[in-house]
Amino acid sequence: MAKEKNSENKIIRLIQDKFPSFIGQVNFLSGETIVTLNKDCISGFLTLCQFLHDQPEICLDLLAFLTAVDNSSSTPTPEHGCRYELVYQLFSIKHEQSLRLKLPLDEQNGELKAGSVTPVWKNAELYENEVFDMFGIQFEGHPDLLRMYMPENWQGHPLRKDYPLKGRQ
Amino acid sequence: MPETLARRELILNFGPQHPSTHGVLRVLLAVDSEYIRWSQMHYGYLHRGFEKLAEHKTYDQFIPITDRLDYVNSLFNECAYVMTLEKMLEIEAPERAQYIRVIMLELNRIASHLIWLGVFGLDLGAITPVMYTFREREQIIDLLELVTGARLTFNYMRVGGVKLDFPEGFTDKVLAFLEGGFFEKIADYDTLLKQNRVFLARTKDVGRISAEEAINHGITGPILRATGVKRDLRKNEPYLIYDKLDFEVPIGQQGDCYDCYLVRLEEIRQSAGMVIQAIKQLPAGDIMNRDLRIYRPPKECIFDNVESLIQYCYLAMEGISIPRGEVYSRIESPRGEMGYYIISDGSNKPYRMFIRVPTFTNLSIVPKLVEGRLIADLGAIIGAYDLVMGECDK
Repeated sequence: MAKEKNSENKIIRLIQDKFPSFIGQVNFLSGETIVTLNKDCISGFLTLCQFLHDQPEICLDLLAFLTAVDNSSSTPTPEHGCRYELVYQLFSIKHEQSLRLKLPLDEQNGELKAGSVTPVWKNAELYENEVFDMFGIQFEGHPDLLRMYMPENWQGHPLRKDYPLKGRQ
Repeated sequence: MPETLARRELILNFGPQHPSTHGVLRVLLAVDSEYIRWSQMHYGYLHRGFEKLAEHKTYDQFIPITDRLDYVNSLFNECAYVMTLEKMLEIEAPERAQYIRVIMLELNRIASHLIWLGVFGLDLGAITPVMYTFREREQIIDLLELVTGARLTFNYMRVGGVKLDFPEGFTDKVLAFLEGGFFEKIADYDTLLKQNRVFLARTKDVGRISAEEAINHGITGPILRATGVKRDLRKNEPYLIYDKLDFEVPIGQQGDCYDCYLVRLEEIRQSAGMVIQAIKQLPAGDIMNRDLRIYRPPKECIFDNVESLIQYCYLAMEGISIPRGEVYSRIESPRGEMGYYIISDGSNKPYRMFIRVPTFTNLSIVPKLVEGRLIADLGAIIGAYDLVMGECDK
């Protein structure tokens, strides 16, 4: 437990050195390290991911999952105040350490966009399709953004909190 | 999508209704005579909206629903879910319950691999293995039915333990099954396929992946082990009582379909050995943690005193409340790393539940593998990757 914390502390220090304004909050919950980033680091996020993947001391080479959370009915509202958060669970096979990154997102000028991390982890392609289908978050740089579970011509995004359980249409 | 089709290319649908796709998987193919030029996977034909449903059901109510995710090995879904909740509550199941869980899980793993073995042969046109493996699987399902009452979707795990203890004589029956000829039968399956020329031609060097590619695509489980990466959550991050059992993790070398076959066959043997060891080490004790946040008193106490009645009624009406927080917890299912990411807001219903299923990511590499290969290779790769669309589509 202490050993894990040391290696994860090291990751956080390395991120802090290279990207000083990115980290908003760091939590240690149930033995896991959760880093919530600042909302204005969306443009540099791909660089951060490439750094986490390539840096030999970190080597977070496995993307366990990528999903999103809709915070609109959460009490209390999170500190960053954004409606959506993208959650990336990363894992390192070599060093056996894990990290969870949370990237806050909000609608800007009526569009909900984030950068795709497909260049770094290939399975992100499928997960980003799922997030687009369920939440409506578009990913720039994604090779082929399609709806995953719902039919292609479906209107609406089911996992948003304002979407009813029994559906529309 | 290709903008213009070459003169001899044809767009075909492999699925969703196809004997080889193990459920409802649709693969869109652009083929040039028998060779695949481009492919795209389409999921969603079995999408049942589990994640949305989870936000409207209490934690206890969701346990039988988790069964239906990967319906071939239901106990793994339940166990991963229940262990995530236990992690959030910071409690542990008592030792006997953990041993019972491991015995049931490993029996379920053997049953799942036997289905895979039979159906993999069936995909490639070998009709005999399925008759043999389903015979053994039937005996295992009968054993699991003695304990849980169900054959496929068990609803057996509870937060803090298991629902029912083993009946009288159960462990003797399991030992009689495993020690009375099961290993010889696994050797029989070997003789059916391992040196068969047609099988070798269809699976050797088909779907070959390197360890780096596998990790980059997020592949876990037997396929990752077939590429040579020695990674098994039961050894690397032991949960339940796996650190007390002696077993080996089989790994392959080339990551092709044949190595996946060898790895899974060896896993059946290892699992059988683990069940025998666990039964011999099985301690006496409680099967449910007595923590008052989750414990339902037994019937005698409810009829006896009113505090037990209140406790039972509260849990039956309100359900378990999980403290505020978020946890991602995972276990090693027969297909890979299965995990639940639950965000709780302190009430008795999850705020957000994300289910990380192995098949979803394992299939991300398939379009790359089949480019330039025969359509028949697609069948072999999908068979070797052991997919269950129930978990993939949630």
